[in-house]
Amino acid sequence: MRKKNNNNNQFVLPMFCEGCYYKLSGRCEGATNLQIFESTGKSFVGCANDNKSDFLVEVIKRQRIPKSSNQSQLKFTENYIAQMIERKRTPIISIDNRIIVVSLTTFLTKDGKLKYKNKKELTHALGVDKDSKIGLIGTCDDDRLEKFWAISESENLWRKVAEFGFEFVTSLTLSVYEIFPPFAQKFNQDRNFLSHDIFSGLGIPCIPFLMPSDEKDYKHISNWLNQRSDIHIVAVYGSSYTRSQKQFSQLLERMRKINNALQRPLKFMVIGVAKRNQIEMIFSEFDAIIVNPKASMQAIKAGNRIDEKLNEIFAREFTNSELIVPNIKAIETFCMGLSK
Amino acid sequence: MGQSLRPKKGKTKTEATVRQMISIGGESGTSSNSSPDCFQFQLEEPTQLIEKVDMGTLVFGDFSIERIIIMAQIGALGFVPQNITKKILTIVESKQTSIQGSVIEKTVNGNVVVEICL
Repeated sequence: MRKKNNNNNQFVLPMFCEGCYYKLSGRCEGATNLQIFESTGKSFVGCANDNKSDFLVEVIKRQRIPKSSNQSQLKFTENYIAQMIERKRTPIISIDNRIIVVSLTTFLTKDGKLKYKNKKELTHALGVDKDSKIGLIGTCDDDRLEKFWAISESENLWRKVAEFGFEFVTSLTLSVYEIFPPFAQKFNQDRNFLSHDIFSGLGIPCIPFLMPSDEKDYKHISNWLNQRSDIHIVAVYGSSYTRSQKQFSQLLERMRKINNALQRPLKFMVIGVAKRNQIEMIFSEFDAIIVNPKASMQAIKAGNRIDEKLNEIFAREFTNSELIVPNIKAIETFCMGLSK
Repeated sequence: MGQSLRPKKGKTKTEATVRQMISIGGESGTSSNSSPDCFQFQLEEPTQLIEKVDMGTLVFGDFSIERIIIMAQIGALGFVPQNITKKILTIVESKQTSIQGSVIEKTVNGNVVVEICL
């Protein structure tokens, strides 16, 4: 049964779902547009997914509000943090006192297990000093994240990650695409939030990824953050929004809505934005930290030097390794100049 | 208060039991005597799924929104009464615990009584 909404082309699909958790929580009314209806099929139109109800209950059973997100331990002075990738060659470079990050894509095997036994192995793979300050960001493909999730308890992976001594971690980033069935969107949001609470409970400073997909999610995010009042840094995933100005405007709008939903100031850790004009737009509105792999990728993959305006210039006079730190410094300087 | 509200084993469910529980606490939910952090209450806004649960069915509380939803494996059963929600949330936060319990009674008015312990 469909009821045409006169205001636009959306369809209201009032599939009633008795005892549906997401409906009862006010976070979902089922599919509201034709695209979801057509692309997911009638069986997934509501807010429930009977095949995954056991998994949902497992997530709810594990809910804890951690005493703290440990973010008071984070004293970021930088406005740019370089994401590093594996680098096979020597020499080992010194990144001085700055923090770098590695993503779960680098950190996990394709089976969802930890690729490195300890921090020494990780720093060796990255080609940086063994005492380097490293953060872990939860960006990764869903396939690997699902495998990680499935074995995380049985293989004690949360604690093993904690033992690496990361300066901070972010929550996971299981996808929340608008074309996903409503249940999948909310379920992944909940698992991402739960991962924050698990890491926080282990004493690591943790930054939650906020991935709203519809208007109801902002209220939920606001409520979730209010239950965790020491969180002042949140992460947003920018990589999917950088290809066009229209997409990027959507990212900015989401950040505004998140900001407005809270009664306290937030700092945004923006992952994956690397274009000069887009970085400028972020800093013109928000207290932000930019995280991207541009400095290391341009050095290692292309042999490019990055100048003070973020132009990439082929630098044959330097080895690729020699370019990494100057590239980081160039982006740091650029971002520092824009920050408020 | 001051009296265990847990029905004795084998006791037939009666409306009186429910009325007693309500009147003792002066509220629609109240603390159990067995532990200061146990609560017994009838669900608010119960869903039709309560027809499918039995005494002893395990339940879990979700506190990700402002109200607490009581879940069973088969789905959401209803809400914790609002007058004890804040009290439960305070304990949940201070103890960093989850909310778990069971259905302890099916009432004649078609609701269920749940006990949760924190």
